[in-house]
Amino acid sequence: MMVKTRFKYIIIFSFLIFLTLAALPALSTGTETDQPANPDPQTVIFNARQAYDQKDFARARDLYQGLLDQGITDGHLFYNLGNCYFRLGDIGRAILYYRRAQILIPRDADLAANLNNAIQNRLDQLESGESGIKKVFLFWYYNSSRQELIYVFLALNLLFWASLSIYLFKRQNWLRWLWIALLVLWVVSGAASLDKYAGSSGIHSGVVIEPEIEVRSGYSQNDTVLFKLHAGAEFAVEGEERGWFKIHLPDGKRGWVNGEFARIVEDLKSI
Amino acid sequence: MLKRQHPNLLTHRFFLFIFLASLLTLSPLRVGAEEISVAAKVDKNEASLEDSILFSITVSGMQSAPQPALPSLPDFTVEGGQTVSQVQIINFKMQANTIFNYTLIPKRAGDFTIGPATVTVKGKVSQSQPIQIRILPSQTKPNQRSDLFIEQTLSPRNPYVNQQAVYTFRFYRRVQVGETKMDEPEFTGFLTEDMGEQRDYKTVVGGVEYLVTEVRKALYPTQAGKLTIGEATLSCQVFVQSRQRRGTGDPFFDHFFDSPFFGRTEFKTMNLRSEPIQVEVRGLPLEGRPPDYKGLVGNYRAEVNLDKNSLPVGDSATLNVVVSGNGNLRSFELPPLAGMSDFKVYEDRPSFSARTQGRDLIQTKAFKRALVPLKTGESRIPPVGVSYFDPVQGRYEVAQSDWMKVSVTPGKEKEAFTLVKAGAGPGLATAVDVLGRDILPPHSQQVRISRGRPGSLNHPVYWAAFFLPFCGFVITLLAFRRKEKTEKDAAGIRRKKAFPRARAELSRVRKALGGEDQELFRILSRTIKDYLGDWFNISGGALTPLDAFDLIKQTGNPELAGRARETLDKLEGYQFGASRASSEERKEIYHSIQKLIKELQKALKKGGG
Repeated sequence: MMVKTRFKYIIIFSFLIFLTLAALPALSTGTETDQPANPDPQTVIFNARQAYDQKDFARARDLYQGLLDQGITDGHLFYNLGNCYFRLGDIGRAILYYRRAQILIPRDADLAANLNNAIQNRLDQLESGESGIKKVFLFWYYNSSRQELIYVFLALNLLFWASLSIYLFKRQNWLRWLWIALLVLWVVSGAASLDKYAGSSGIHSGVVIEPEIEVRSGYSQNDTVLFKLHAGAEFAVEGEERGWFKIHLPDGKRGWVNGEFARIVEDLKSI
Repeated sequence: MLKRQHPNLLTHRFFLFIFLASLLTLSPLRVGAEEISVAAKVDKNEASLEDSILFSITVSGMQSAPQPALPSLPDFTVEGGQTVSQVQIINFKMQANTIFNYTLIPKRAGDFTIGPATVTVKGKVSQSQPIQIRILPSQTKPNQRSDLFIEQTLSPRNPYVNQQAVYTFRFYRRVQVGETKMDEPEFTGFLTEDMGEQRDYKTVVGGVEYLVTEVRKALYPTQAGKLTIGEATLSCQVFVQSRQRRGTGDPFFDHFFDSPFFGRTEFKTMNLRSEPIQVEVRGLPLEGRPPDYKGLVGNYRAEVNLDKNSLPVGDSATLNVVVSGNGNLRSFELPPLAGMSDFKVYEDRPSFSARTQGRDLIQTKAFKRALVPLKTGESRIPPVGVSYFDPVQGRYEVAQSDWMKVSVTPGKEKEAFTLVKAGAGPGLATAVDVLGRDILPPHSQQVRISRGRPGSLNHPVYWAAFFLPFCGFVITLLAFRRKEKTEKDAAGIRRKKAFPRARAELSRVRKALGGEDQELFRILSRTIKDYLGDWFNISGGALTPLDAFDLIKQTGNPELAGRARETLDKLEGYQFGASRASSEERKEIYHSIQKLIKELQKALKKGGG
């Protein structure tokens, strides 16, 4: 009887977690629409690279941006856009696109080098948002893209249910520990996927794209200016009101910035 | 005599409570639900650029009022100050006020209006009246004999590109000052080097003695044309002795505490500004410029020495070149040494130092070259020259060493002379210097053409990957539950195994068909009985043909029951009787039993016996 009850709870608990995570697809806003007739993307990439090599960075930027407008999203595309903006002297957008690329290709060494270079070129020296300890223990989270985390979660999903199924027939101690361990990993990977996928933490990051902006005490042009930020400065976004972002910096400074002068990193479509 | 009893304490307390409650209820000293009002004021309506203005907003009618929304003040720097809560009793009425103090530091001169400050309480907005103020231009000129002022100078005012110009900032004061904060001006278009620590000294200006704090920097303009060194600002707290205090009303105490010994000290914030400096930077002439000129401007000398004049083959000598002068040597690199075909030259990392000498900053850069001779005999090291532009002479000069000789003797053993690859020589490994910063090129091959949101889960594969494992588990669980249930049903298990057992037994005895052994009939009889025993969960071995008939008849198939009985009787006949069955007969009996068991299985399953 106890065995029955125990399994009943396992089923209910697992099903609840499963349902929660199964809601993930509902958050997807994939744009699988019919594409109008567009130039071949590979040709565009080639032309863009030609333009870049000829130092026509504005044209290269427009060509890469055109690919984004077609719905093509790729970490290397964001990286290339970051390069174009860097060459055009737009440090703010350069950092913005490098950060977007980091979501998709977090371990790319060229990206890390260029992002670091761009950060050195911005006016505001800001502390790093994540503590060193957090980065050490959550290196797998920061070094994985969304897609990779989802793959890991799916693999763990399969292993977990398979091990639980085997355990039904083979009541071995090591099998019990195995499915418990897989359960923990399954929950952690699911939560990490959810966090990266849907930004469930509610906190997004933003980048200043104007040369200089004023951070105010409220979401109005009449509110007191608390401090100023310059192009490329990064901040955490806590909320939005009337087109203004409520932000805070790693050193604790808080305020409101006009949404016209900054962009959210996770909003991959905004220019 | 009766003792007077003490009054009842409870009664006393009760009446005390009633009294106090009445007092509070009827007392005019109560804070009424007054209207909220906001009033703003400044401590002065006219100030100079060096002054700061105390801006106070008083919110009356409530304690702990919310922070007021300040008006837009683009021409001032706003610093938050104290917040004070107070309760006043005016005409027997209690009034609660909250005072918010701010310091306004003007950014420019002119007439300004400080707009209304607003406070919102329970949806109702109250605001103060606007205030007009006038800011006068800066008054910090030395000839005005102010108590304190600042100045910044540059010498020379029209340097050449890369020529050292000494920037001096001085803070003059003849009053006591407290916390001081200086904001350096912008040196756009200049490279800067600090020139030592700040100096403090006394000097006389216009007959007045001042204490001076001086800071110097060496500036090197990077481009020709008009450049501007912005204004420097300095804010400080000035101690002001105040002998005035509010009187107590008692002439003895007021006279005593108004003496200088008990004078109070107040602080006043002063913001000082200096004039910007306009600089006319001259470009370097092209005429007479040496081909190896590297941009040095100033007065330089080069000292060159060799640590060995004689050395054997295979050994190395160190050539030291020390360049020093009153210019910018930090980014200077020694040109490659010419005429050194008799040597292999290895470079070392240069060392750099700077020191203040008089009014100049003298920079020194020392270069080391390891020289490995390639042949024996006398070799000559050509002079090492450093070209520079002398701004005083207005022409290019060369600081040059003399020729040096080196005698290279043969080595102790004749050995194959092996040229080593270019790079750091023995013991001369150096760290990699960063010479420049730039981004890496774009990626072309790695861009993948995939549409849709990255990580989108719209693809059916993701759905399958989510659901299928869970479905598999549910199916497995159901199978497991069914297995458990079946295992608990022993009779059911036995019945389940009846037919396979009978079939297996029949297969086993098939081999014995060809023999003459009577054992065959015993086994065949037992097979039928065991089958019936398994099916009906009884001991099959004890069944008689009549028992078998009765059991099978229950399924509603008397014909089959009869045949089963006949078969069992026949088998017993062969088993216990004297007759012998032929091979053909044995086979026929075997097949009939096979058929019988199949028919029994079908009938019993159908009948649910």
